[in-house]
Amino acid sequence: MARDSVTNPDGFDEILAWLNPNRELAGTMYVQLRHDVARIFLWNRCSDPEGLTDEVFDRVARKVHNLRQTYNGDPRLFFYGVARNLVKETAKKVKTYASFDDAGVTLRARAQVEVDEEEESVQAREHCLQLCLNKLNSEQRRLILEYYAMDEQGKISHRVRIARQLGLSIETLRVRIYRIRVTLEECIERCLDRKDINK
Amino acid sequence: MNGPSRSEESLRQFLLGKVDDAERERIESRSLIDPQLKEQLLAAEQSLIDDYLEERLTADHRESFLLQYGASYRQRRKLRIAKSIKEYAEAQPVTAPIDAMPNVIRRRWFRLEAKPKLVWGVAAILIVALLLVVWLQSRRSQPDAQQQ
Repeated sequence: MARDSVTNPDGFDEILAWLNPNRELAGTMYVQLRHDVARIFLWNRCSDPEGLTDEVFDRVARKVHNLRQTYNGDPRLFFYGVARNLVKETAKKVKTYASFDDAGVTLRARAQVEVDEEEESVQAREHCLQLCLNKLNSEQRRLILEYYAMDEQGKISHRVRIARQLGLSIETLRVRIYRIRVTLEECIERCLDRKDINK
Repeated sequence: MNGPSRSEESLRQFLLGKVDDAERERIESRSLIDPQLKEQLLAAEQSLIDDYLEERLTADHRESFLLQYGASYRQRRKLRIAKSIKEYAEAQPVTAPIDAMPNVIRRRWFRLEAKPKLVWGVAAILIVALLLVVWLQSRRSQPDAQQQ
């Protein structure tokens, strides 16, 4: 679970200045970097990517004043180094406190997916999906619905056809769909969170 | 279906947690500073999630996928949402195939669709022009009738 970040305003400003002298560009880089660092925790099977990302930025904020004078190279790689250390620390903790093997974890994850499924009402999810689909522009809505339409048999050739018609490679189409889906997922998550609160 | 390209296959191995630490660190650090690699990773991840949702993963890859993407509540929720989107799309009545319209027209239509005011404005101009033509035509035929 994400925790409250303790990065102070000065630290935040210095991080921005370190990332890029142009504050507007730096802001964009900051947001992007947070996403990228969170994704790295996700790839490393960490259970709280957002909380660990906060921790990375807090740790960097505490050192950034000196780093700006001493560190040579792309600042994003320094953030990566801190994230990597945190992954190792987290893995060590898990090894110390948990005794289950990988197969156990898989079974647990699968069982957890089913439990979560029951907890979250299907109707609530459908309602939020409808709501959020309507918030997409018509091109995005049509594209994502087209992408996932068709039965399993025709799906692959259908997607190749969509990519060809849009003048894109299949990889670029996937990235485009990924972005639309992320927007949609975030909207649905916010909608479901609101429903949880109103329960 | 063509199998994933070699590089996509290696990125898939990375995403499934099947690479050594050195390779993992190389890909992770590059993904922060190399936008092209990041795009490739996102595409490979998209393809992996699609294959999971469409039950095209081998048993071994499915286990690895669940280890990787079932670790946190938020991630599991994302998978459920992705599954809902897919099921919703599949349940929709089949519309005109995307390639029934030529690409250029399709793009222009999308752009127009996003601007309903423009569409209504153009429609209004066309209707006025049509009425004008009808009116002019009827005026032209009136003197003829009077002469007869």
